[in-house]
Amino acid sequence: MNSEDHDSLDAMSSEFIAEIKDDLASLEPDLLVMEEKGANVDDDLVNHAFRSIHSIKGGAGFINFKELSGLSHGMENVLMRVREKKLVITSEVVDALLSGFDKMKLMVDLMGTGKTCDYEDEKESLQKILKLGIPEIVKGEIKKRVKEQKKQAIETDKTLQAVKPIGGNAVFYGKEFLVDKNRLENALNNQKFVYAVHIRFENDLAAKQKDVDAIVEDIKSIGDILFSELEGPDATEDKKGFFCVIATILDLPLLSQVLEISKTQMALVDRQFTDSETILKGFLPKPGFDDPEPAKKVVEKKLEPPVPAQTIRINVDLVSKLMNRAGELVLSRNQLRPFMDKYARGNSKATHMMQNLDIVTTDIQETIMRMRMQPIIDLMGKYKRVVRDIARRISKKVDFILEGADVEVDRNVLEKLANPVTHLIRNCIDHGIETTEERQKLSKPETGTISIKAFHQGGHVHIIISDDGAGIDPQLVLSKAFEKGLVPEDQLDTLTDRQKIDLIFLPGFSTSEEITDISGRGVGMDVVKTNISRLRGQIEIDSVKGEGTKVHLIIPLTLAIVPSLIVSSGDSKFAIPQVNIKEVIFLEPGKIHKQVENIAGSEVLRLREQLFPVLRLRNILGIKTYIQNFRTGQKEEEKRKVIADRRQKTNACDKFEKREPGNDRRNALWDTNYVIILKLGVNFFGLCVDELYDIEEVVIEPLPEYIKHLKCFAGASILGSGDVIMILDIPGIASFSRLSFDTIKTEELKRSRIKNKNTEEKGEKKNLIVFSSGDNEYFALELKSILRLEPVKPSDIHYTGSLKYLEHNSQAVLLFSMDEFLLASKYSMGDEEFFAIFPKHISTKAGIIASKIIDTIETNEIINKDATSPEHVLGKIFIEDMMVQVLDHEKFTSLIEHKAATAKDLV
Amino acid sequence: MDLSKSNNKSRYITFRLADNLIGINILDIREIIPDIKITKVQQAPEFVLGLISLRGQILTIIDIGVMLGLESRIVHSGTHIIIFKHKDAGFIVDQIGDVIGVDQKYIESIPANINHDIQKYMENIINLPEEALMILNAEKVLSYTETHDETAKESP
Repeated sequence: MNSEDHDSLDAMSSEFIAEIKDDLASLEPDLLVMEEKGANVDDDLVNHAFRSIHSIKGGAGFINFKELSGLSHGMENVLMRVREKKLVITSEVVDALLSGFDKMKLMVDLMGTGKTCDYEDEKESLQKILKLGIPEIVKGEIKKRVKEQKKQAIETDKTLQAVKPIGGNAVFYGKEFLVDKNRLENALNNQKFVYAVHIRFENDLAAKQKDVDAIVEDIKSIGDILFSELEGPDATEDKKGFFCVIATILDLPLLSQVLEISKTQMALVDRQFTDSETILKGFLPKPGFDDPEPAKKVVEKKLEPPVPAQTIRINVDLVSKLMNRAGELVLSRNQLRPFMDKYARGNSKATHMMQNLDIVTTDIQETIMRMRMQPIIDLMGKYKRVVRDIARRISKKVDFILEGADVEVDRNVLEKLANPVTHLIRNCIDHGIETTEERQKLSKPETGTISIKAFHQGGHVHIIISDDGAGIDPQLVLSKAFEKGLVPEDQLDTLTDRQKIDLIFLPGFSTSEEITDISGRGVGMDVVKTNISRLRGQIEIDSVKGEGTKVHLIIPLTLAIVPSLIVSSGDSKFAIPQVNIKEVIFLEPGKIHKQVENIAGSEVLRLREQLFPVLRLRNILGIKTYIQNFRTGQKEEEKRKVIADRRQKTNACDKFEKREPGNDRRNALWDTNYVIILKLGVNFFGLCVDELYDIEEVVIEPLPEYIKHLKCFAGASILGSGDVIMILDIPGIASFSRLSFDTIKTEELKRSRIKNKNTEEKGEKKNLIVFSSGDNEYFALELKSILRLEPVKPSDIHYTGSLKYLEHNSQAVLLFSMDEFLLASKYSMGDEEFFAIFPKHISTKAGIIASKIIDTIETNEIINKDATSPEHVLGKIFIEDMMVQVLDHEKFTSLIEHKAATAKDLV
Repeated sequence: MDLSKSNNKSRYITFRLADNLIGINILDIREIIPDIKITKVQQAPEFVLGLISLRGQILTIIDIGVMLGLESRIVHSGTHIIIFKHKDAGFIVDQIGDVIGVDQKYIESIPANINHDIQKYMENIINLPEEALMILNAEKVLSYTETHDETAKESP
């Protein structure tokens, strides 16, 4: 109806809305604590809630938001009753207040959209509460009084205004005074303060040899008396003091000095209550508050006026920008430092300045980081309400305990935690905590407990959500998963309880029917898991059947800053987020064979009786690496890298993928020093890198557009040195390398499977190097029989007749092409570079010419000798569309020896 | 008509890629920096040379030479990086030249016989007294996406 009033929000309104939101936020926990304490609720709390609702009303009134102000008025009335001890807090009362609260929140959210919502239901339930709260006697009293006062009220309505002290001591509780509206308005317009003052005859007047007239004179000298009990109809002689309302320009301490009256007996007033019922209240006797209490108690009961929060609102973007700039400052400082070291060394002034810059820079950076942090209670506080509501709805009794409320997390993280944590808590109440009867039967305390514990550890926030409910039955989870076809039958017996429970993370596990059957958890746990991994966090479940469940979340402090281990492979450095790292293994040069095994063509690391699949970073990323030359001991570029490049272009890679690097001669020269064991959910795998560096806190920047599609990187970052570094994406690397973990496949399982596979294999495993001679004839030799490979330029060949020699370590080495041994097309040397293969165990210096090295492959195919194969050929195998003749090493080397011997004869 | 148009002069930064003299409108450029350390990105398309950090910003450095079908750049002392104004990216050039102002009337369309790969990314050509200057179209360059089979590259 008045939507147009608040559908375009000007700056002023939005300021008010922000305040209203703040007040709303502080209201909810108050209401919940009030419920908890019930009749014993303390006044501070009620007052606080009352103040919140009151300022909401004020704000709503200011921006002319009638619905909100109407509803808040209704809620205020209820709280007023509570404050006056006329209404005892019960769950019903809190229900009504909370529903009102929810509607208010909705209203505020809808603001600016032009929509409004009615609040009839809430109003009604609030009114019902009001009626219910007032005992009949009081009601009668009120009615009588209302009648009595009505005439007067109607008469005075236009000219009188009710005012109400805020804060001050106990004597002001529930007091309201009627003052002349015009005079009040006038005073306020003249920037005067309006105070309610309680003057005690004995202490304030008699003790200071004053009388009433004298004090009235005093007051009049500094301001106006708007209201005085002495003048009113209720003026009584038997009281110990009287109230008056005065308007003055003096502030509270000064006023107290002038009048020689204690500050606690004065309070600023507020004018809000204009309806006849509240006007009336000013005249109603307040049981228990009639007599001003002795001074001692007054001090004790004193209500401090609320300290204004020391905060300002800042746009998040601005903070982000500031944070980036601060990072820049750090970088500039880092760059300046070596410069200063070089040019101003020993200059004490410069050193001092540098130190100052250091301190200030670090401080700025830390402070700005903290600006983005929010205490976890901002999120977790909400769950008190969630727990209460759900528990009430399904009539269970649940307590909620929050530990570590002040643990701070980046606000982005906090926002993204809301969804998964809500889910987990819902599960706790719904499926974890048993019904009251069940709990009694199990001789557990009737009220279940859900606790959230948050703490910092190792640069991460740990959040443990636990309940003392039924726990998860691993057997039931397993059978459900089996029914759904999520677990193969042969694995049913091999899973540990923990692994069985982890099955609930599998997508597709959750349907409502299952949950009730299991009476454990399982609603969309895969979604929870996904959400947590998006935060680069981890989730673990621990559950004991019948005793409860513990969900452990490990979340990075901020999304933007990730402590990472810097590693290198070849010439490139990479960052691995620390959260993914389980441990780092150093491979001792001599014992590599004992630590790393080669099973069914894959490298696995044996560590504490477990096997971890091992990947090599340089192979994954195709980084140029270097191997040690057998003879010279110098580093040479890994030649097979060249082959890999060529392979990409010829695109004939599928079959060759079987090739794993560990199987060949390089195994003896493992140039990778460290294996980093990485965590991927419940699975682990090893990643080989060359060197380790520091752990640095890197700021993750998303991948630029051109390289967004790269799976192996999570982003890029700038190191302290100013260099750009790529951040590895561990799940990406695993999927890129086709590590096929599923949540149930454990290392043990893998191991047994691998063993089975090994025994199944009939053929002997062979690593072959495949090369071509001429255009399309392919040959293979076993890798173990090859001494070395060498690229040769045709210009390096020296001829003696038809014999070809190559100089190697100042010795002449004979080279033969394949067609000199076998039925093969004649090899004609062009200008292209080719390779010389030097076999092992050969008495003469001789090698064979390969026009191209295709690849090394691993095969367990049984190589069948057929009738067409010559004596020194083991047989033929097919790789893709190539027919490869596998040479028999022994026979072939003797052939070479023979050939070389006859060649000498020829010369 | 605003002043710049009535002036009828556009200003171009000239540079060399291999032997080609190429220009790019100065309005498309944020800055020119001497060659700094480029972090290689493994598995990236061939035209992506890597990433650099410029005052806390990560920029992608591309090799326009690869797009134009020239051989890939080798970084040497004359190498400079030109940073685009409207995108966090830059490209390296073999040699940086002058900034020249050219009257609109000297601007001609690209001769039809120029390699199509090059033509794609050029706006027009300026017939300078000594040498023809090809003008690069920044927008077209930036919208370049690798057409080669990336999946082949990604496989291990």
